[in-house]
Amino acid sequence: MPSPLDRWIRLWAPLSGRRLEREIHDELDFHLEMLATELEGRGLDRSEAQMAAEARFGDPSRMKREAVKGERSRIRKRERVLLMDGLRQDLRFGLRQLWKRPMFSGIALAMLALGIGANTAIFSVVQTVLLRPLPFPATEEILQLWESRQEQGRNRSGFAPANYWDVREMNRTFVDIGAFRWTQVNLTGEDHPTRLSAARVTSGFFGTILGVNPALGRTFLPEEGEAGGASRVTLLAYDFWQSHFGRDPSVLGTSLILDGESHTVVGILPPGRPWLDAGEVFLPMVRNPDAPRGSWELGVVGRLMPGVSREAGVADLESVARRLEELYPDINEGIGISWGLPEEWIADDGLRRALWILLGAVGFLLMIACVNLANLLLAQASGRVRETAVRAAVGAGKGRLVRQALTESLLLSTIGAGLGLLLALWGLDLVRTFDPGGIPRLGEVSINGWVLAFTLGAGVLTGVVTGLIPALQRSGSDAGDTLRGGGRSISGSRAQRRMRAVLVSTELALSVALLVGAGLLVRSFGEILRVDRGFQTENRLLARVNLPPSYGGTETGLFLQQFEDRARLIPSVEGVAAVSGRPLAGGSTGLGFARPEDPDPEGGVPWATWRLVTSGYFDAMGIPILRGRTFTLDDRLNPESTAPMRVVVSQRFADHLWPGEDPVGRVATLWAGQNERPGEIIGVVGNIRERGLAQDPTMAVYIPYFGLGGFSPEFVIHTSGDPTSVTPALRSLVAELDPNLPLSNVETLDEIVGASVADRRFVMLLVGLFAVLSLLLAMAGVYGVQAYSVAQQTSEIGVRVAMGAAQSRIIRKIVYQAMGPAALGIAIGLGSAFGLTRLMESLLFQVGATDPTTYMGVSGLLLGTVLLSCWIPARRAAKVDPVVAFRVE
Amino acid sequence: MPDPKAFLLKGTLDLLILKALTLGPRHGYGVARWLEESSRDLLRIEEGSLYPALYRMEDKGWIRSEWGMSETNRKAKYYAITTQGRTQLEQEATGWERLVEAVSLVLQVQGG
Repeated sequence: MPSPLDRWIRLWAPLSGRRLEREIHDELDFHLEMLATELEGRGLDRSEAQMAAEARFGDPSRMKREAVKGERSRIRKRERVLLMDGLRQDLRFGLRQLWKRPMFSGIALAMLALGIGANTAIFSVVQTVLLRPLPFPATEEILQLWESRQEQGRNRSGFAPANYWDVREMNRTFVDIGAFRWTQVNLTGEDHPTRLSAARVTSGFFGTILGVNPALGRTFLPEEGEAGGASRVTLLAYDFWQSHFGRDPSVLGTSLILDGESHTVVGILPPGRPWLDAGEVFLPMVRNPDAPRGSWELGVVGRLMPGVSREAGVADLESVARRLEELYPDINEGIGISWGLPEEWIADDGLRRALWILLGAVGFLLMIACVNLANLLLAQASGRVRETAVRAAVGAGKGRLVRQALTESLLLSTIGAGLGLLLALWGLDLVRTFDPGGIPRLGEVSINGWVLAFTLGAGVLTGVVTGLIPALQRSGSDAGDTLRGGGRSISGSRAQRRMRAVLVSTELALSVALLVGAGLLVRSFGEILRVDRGFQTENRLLARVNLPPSYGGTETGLFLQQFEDRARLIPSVEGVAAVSGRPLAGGSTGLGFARPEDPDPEGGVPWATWRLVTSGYFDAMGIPILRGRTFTLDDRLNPESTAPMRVVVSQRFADHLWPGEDPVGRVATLWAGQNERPGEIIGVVGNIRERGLAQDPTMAVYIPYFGLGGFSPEFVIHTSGDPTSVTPALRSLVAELDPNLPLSNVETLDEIVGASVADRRFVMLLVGLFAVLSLLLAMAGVYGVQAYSVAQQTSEIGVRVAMGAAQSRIIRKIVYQAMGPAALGIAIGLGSAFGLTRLMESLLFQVGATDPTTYMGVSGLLLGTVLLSCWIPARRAAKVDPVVAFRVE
Repeated sequence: MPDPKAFLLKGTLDLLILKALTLGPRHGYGVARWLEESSRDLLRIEEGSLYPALYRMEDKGWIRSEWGMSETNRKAKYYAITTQGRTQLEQEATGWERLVEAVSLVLQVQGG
């Protein structure tokens, strides 16, 4: 059984193996014949002598076979030596060639390093973000689950707690279904209070569903999730354990004061994302016997029983949903289940798509670099026609010549890949340093084995592709013809000219597609930044204060009022207000709404976000009050009263219920289909895009903050100057009001807006960068081809000049020649962009995938570039002195 | 008397071939003929083992080969001993003499 290496060698060096076999045959034949001749000399006749010799030999053919067989391994070894010798020769020759042409080698290596480096860097991000498996066993059994109300257009909403517990018990296909709810807790009892991000999770969440073994201690026990159980326990995330306790194992069993209550640390989770380091501490979610069914608040994750398909599991849950709809027809009308893969924890669909598009974009860039390199090699090959012909004439086989050409291009691409790797390392470092935000796991991105394999693969592929084109072209030419032809006829041959035209068209097409994609992204991003947000961002600071459960309605109201009153006294503060949810932060509280006389409108109850706000909120955020007024203290909520609560709504909300009418003074049913409450509209304010700049403005209901506990405030501070200058004053203000409360998440609104579009900016900048590089490469490529072909025509041009042709006419003719393939390439590029950009429609905003401005702009840009790249060499050629031109011969 | 033709110890063949080549390059047939002649036909070399031995020794670098013209004007492969081969020959010859001496001594022991 020959080893793969041997088989590979056989492919490369079939001649030497056969030759050695033949030699053995020849040698043994010679021996036989000598023996026969000797016997003949002793008096036997010819045929007798031959028979006797063969008899003495035994079976000569068998002996040959055995000798050859016995020699196989030695032959192979010798073949290997021969091959290595040949390779070494090729390599040495190739290196010498590269060394002799430093200009050519430098340009080729720079292009390769750029192309392969960019691909390596992007691939390493893709590998880490999209391809690296989640750190949980049997991930394929894990599903994210949501409630849905398809008729109302709600596809994924959190589970209502009561529905969750029912689904958990009534399903037959899941090992366990777990739930979580994000929250914050204040850690006190240390020098300074600290706000920690926390999650409450059901007892089986880590152990059963994610299948995680704790780094230390244990995960939650079932009884810790039961009402009345010992639920004052906590798990620490590894990162938090490291940063806060220096990985001290003795923290296990001690108590932390979280939101004023002592919790025992029972375990440390292992490091890693998602989930395990997503929060800082984890608390058990305790089952509440009177869990609400009307507020959709739980994130839910289930693990299927082994062997159960996703479809079967989801179908099972759907049938549970049907039963829940029958049991609670009012609140669960139209309930369904939707699901998602756990990989979405790392990157959602939009980001996934964006990363694949990035990989495609760098792929195009590398292809353009390849085309350029092939072009260069082709020009080289023409320059070396004589050398090649000489080598062929002295007996280098066609295979050997192709091998030599491939060795050279592989040598280039391998060195280029090495340089590219360095470039990628540097680029990743850069990206990590200026973390643009919006890309998960960016810190974990590294050049690992997969990435190295990818780089190597890209390098080899590049080498083979770029080497094969000129190699085949080269070996196709007849050595004798070339030697006789003086090396001129072949270089200008029609086949080569056609090949060059194809390469030019190809690289222009690739560049056009890339530029159109980048142009669409840039235009979309511009539209997003220009879009009317509905609020002002200048000189505004947001800061969060996490209120523990001990703050009821009265305490919260008092705290808000004291904070606002005192904060107004800080110099440069122009406005202060509180809101229950930060804009652009993702995730929001929602409610259904309807007109009281039409509680069940056709097409389902519409959905609005609701926010608790203090009266100065619209002013502080720069949201215009269009009708009516904002709140006063008289509008505060009174839980005992049955009178309608007074609310302010957004323009879209008002237009939806009462198009063309004045909504002020009217009453709407809020939480329609849930626990309905009437709300009287006292004012209408402008729409704001608070779910994201690229999302439509929300329909919104603003409810007075005072009088309601349980919601921690985000303070909006509007200042006259740099808003961050008031941060220290705000901190000491909070410490004065309650030393156990931390001020956290202090960010300017500009930063928040910037972060909300960070991933778009990242993708846009990279695709834009690749597109610009592709343009430069294409320009260099066109210029190179043009300069070369003009140089080939020098003597012809000289003749024309000598005959009295006008310069402008010569230039026009040369440019005209080049524009054919260029125009074809641009046309093909526009066509493919037309198809390809559809894939990125979801990344675009207010710009169609077929946006004519972009397409025309890119075509114009490229035509101009091509014209310039042709015109320069053409002009130079037209100025040629006929005498010099003839001397070229 | 045992047939000496069957009494060719492993390794001895290499020794004999090296010796045959000390007098100048020979082709495989020439080596076989020379050994038969100089042993007065007591030794006969099996072609089946001669050539593998030659190839093996060439591989080890003791001999090298070259195609040339035979005395009958035919293309033949000639083997020549290398410096390394000469060293090897010396070593093996010494080893052989010691072996012969040792075996003779044992055989000369009287009594029993």
